[in-house]
Amino acid sequence: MVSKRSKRGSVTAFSAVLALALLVLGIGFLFIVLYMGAQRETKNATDAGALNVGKKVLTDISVPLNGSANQACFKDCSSDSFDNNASRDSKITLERINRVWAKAMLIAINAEAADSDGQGGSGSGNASQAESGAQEISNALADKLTTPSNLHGFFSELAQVNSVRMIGVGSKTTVLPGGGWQTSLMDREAESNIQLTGTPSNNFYLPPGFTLPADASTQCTRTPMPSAVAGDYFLKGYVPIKVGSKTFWQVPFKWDNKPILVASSKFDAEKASANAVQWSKPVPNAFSVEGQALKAGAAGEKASSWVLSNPRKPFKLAAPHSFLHVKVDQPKCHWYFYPVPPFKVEFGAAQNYDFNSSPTSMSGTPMPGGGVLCSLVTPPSQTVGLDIAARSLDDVIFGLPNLHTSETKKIENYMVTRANEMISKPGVVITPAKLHTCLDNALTRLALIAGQKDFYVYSADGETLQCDIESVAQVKAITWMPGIIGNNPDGSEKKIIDDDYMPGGIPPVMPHAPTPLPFCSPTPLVNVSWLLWDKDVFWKPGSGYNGNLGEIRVKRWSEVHTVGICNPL
Amino acid sequence: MHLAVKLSTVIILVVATASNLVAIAQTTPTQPQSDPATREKNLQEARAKYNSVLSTEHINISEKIPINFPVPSYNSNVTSTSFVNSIKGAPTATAGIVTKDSPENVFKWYQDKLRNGGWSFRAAAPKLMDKIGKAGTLFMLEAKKEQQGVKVACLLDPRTRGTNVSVIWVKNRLGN
Repeated sequence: MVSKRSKRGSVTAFSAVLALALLVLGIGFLFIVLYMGAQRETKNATDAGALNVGKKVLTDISVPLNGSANQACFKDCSSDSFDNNASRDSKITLERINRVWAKAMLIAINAEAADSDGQGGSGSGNASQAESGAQEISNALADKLTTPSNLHGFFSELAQVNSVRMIGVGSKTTVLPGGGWQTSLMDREAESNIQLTGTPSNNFYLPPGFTLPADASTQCTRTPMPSAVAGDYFLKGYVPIKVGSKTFWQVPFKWDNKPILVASSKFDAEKASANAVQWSKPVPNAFSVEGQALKAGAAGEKASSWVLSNPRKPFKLAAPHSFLHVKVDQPKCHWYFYPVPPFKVEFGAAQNYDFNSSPTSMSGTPMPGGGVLCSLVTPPSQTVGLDIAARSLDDVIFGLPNLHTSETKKIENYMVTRANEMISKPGVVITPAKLHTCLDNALTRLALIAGQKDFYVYSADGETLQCDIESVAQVKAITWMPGIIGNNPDGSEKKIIDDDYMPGGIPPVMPHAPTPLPFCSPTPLVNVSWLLWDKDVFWKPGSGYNGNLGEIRVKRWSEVHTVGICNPL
Repeated sequence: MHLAVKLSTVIILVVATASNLVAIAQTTPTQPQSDPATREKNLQEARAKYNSVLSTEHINISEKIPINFPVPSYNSNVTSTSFVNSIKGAPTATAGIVTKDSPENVFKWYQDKLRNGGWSFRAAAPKLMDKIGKAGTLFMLEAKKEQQGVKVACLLDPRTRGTNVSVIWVKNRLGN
């Protein structure tokens, strides 16, 4: 028989055991919760550190330009602004490396186009210099970006401020050096942050004579494609872009994507070791990190994270600090006679006329025997210079005479494509109309009247086109123009518009009376003099290696033709 | 290049002198006036030489402005007209008018006619003309319609106080 006391004792013992068990379970549960929380905190801190790495690698790891000519030509790329007048720090970062490669490629394109026109000069050699300079900078940057210790600080900067209290009081997430710090080449064949001008249909406003390989460009690869860039094209990343025998590279950065965390499987699949690219030393755009949360003296949690970087800062394919030189030759008036028709001879010295005095009345030297049966042919005074009177630079280059339509278009095309190379702001296109408006500004008229013969087309702000005389250009682009404005184009000159001419006198035809030989008299209605406006336009291409993208030289002159014919009485 | 040009000039001059001497030799001093048939033949030969020049230079010259010239011709107090057109490449022509009227009046007449004819134009600002010392003596405008371009210049003739007018027309206009 069991006593009441005995029954009460067993319940007490059971309760005690149960309480203990519950306590153990509770403590165990608490430990599990703490463990999982600590793991989550560590992961969060690591993700935060990774995102900071993805952000800071864009701007805080840089390669200084070493001052050699083939690197100095990229100083204009050492800015995060499309404003060409913004300050430059001579440092190339991940955010800027595509600008460097793009400019090197543009130099090569200009040289290639000039070569195809037979005007290469030293452009190709300079393009090789630029290519090697870009490669040196790129290699140095790749070295820095693939050295994990250079990234550790960015990780710690943010990971350490993230709470990991569940590990223990005073615990922090720190860098776990080793194999967890890797790089990858993600988003292959996606767009870089270098936007092209125009579309394939207008050859991206690249110089005539060069066509960009079809696999070098792409539209935005984001899905769905943002409407803001629906019609735009970009250079393609991690794809070799061939220009002649030279190869250029871009790092892909999908348009306006933030730095984002990515899955390890995707990261690993695109590592150079797993899936090589042809680029011998590629600049990575993705980084893996590994951190650990430690309690003083004891092991804690470890976590890894993978981040795909993106500067969200597009630029245009450009040579930001560059210009076109327009040179106007001294206009002259030449005097022609026809002693043996239809052959003409020039007689007497050519006379200068100018923008500040035209139109002006001019007289030629009388030519003895300058006509058929004429003892003397005296050309009537002609009003010379109406072709240049009060004209703008646009008129001087493209104005009458402009009957050589295809050659005139060619000059326009050279200038438009080069003008677009000066523009750094994405989405801005210099159309032929914009070029003509720029060259047609009233200041160019006044400058020509004032005797100026040298003009410079450039973009001070990377967005708009200007045409100014040397002193004004130097002031408007004071940080960079003075250092390059004296540089000559590296191509060779060719006459593109060859003696475009048309009648242009005022009045267009003037009668005159030649002095006949004995027993002869002037033939009625045939002794006339007329004036022609003539124009040559030359193009000397520049690759842009030294900032000079080319030179347009305009030669304008007038010809007074005087026919003197007498006949026997 | 210059040497070649000078050499060719000398050759042409020598040929010219020789041909002139031959022509003179053919005219007998005792008979200064040829018979009508010879005179006509001489005139024809002279005109043929003139035409060979125009043909070689690819231009046509006339005293009259064709009635189909696309820009109306000023017709008040006109003392002479002339016309030159190119016979090669893109069509272009220049009409010249000499009038006793003042440049201001002639220029205003052209502005009105072009405006009424549907041309859009811009005239050179008086300030600009002043800069080149031609204020009141030179008036210029540029006009366009479809693919045609026109430049009109009215220049004061200081001798007669009248106006020399030049109307330059181009069919396939380029530029903006």
